[in-house]
Amino acid sequence: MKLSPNTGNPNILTYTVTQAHGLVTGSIYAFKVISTNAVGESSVSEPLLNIMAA
Amino acid sequence: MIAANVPGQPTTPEKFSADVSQITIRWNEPVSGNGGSIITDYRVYWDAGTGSGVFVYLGNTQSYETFTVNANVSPSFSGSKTFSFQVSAVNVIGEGEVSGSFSVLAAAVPTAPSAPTLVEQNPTFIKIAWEAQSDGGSPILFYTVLWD
Repeated sequence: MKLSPNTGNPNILTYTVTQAHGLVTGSIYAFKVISTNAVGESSVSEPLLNIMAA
Repeated sequence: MIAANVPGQPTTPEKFSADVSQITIRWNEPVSGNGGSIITDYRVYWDAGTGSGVFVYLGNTQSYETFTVNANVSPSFSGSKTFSFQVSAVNVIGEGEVSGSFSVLAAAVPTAPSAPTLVEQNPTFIKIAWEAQSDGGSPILFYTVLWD
């Protein structure tokens, strides 16, 4: 499980993962999201399964 | 014959559970003992969410080392506010020293975001989006994306 930097902004509800993050074409990835408030972290969202097309 | 005394100081209370509708705190019996006489009840004090450092009597419990406050217990309770608590033990001789104070936010962790959806993709990147869910009574600070 790779952890991307957090969005740093509660109003940003998108994220772009690039080859700089380590994406490899042809690989299958599962993307999940967690939210954090002053109490702590949510559980993990259901995944988005995606094939990084060539 | 050993004369009884008031109980010792209970441990500083801690959060057992909390959300926008209630806070439950718990503590342990005084480390220094019950003063030689069984503890009959614990008294709970709070700042009613004022943050003033002034504590007033909230209620007592006779059987358990936990206490739950909600809007039925006090109209001063409301979700998304921070409340501070202290506890004292009582025996037949009287009331012992109050514990240290502890603050609890009347909120829970957020609900997990919706499953992300694909917004855009090409051979060099994937852009995903999600929808916010309940913030648990405390504003969302940020989101983190996990992937494998």
